[in-house]
Amino acid sequence: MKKSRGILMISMKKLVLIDLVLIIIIALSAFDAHAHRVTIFAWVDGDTIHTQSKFSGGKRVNNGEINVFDPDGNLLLKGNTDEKGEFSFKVPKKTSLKIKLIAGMGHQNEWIVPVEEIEPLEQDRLVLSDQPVDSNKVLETKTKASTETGLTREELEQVVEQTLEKKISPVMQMLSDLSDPKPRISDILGGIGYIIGLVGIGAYFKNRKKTDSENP
Amino acid sequence: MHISEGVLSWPILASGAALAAAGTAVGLKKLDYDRIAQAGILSASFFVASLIHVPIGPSSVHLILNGVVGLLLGWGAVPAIVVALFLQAVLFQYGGITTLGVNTVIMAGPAVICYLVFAPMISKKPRITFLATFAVGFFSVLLGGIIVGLALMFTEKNFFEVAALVIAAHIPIMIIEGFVTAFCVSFLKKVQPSLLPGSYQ
Repeated sequence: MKKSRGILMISMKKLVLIDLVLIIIIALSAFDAHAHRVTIFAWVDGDTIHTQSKFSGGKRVNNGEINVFDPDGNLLLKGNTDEKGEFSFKVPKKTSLKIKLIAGMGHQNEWIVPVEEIEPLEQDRLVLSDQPVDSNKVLETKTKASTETGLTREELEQVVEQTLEKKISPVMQMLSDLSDPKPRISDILGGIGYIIGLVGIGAYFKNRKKTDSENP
Repeated sequence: MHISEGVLSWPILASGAALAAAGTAVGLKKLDYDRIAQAGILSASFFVASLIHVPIGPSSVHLILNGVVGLLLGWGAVPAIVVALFLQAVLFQYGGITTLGVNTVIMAGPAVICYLVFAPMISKKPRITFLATFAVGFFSVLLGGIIVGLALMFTEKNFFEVAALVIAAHIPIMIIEGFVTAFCVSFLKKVQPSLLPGSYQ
């Protein structure tokens, strides 16, 4: 009997200790995340916008609903993600676009494609083709390029674009992964710290009430 | 089960916030000095529990532990869960600030209901205790799914479809939570029975 009471006496302290240790172990081992937040990442490639949607933890959003809005909130187009969480569409309007992902069960998120990402390609092209002053120069480089490589300007442009696309796609993939920040250890420990602080504040106020009522 | 920002219309957000505020007030009043530390520990457990995901079935779901928190704290679970949900929203971007009230109702509402229903059954025969505590873990998640369906009913139209989807996705976690809750209580019964609600009555 005595022995068991002794066990009970230490157990309270032990329990708190065990609990704290457990919480920290959980926190440390919890880097693999889970389905509770969805992210959408979109990038512009020429006149096409690619989007990739996933749940935190990297699981792709299969058959999620994608809605594209202009800045005034008008729905421009609608679509669904494939099993890789991807959905691509042609730029429907030359404004900044708000791409909204609805993944069901109350999960949603959005990505805004600024107008600068959609426009510059157009402007560059315009500048390149509308050069009445230096038209001789352009002609010169054009003939030069075609004589040296056997490629016209358009073909060259296409080749460059394709190569760039190939080189950039892993980077885009990486950016897409980075846009899904997982909870960091500092967040987790910080949160636990806040809770301990709140316990202190709560204990302070309750204790003041208690001592007030004890010594009126 | 965290509902993201911008999904719900403001009347639902407002009523969720009002309910959560009322529950928090009741909880803070009922939380006595001796149990503040316990509330803090359980709040911290709830805060990190959502990081544990269980890869069962087609989707992976995470532990919620609202049943355990409710069972051990009663109404005190509401402030504990509000704090944890707020920190999850700010630090992990789960849920959101505007949906804090609704998410609190989703998690803490079932916790309190399960406490009121099942807590009196604890500390009788071990088998009954096991069943009751399993039910706490199980139904606190199930009821949460139903409340999610109710909250989304006004945006995604079909209540049964949404609720069924949420509940189906959480069936594994209901069972796991049931066992976790039962295990926690049987452990506490051995080492620290005064923490259990039965001994308070």
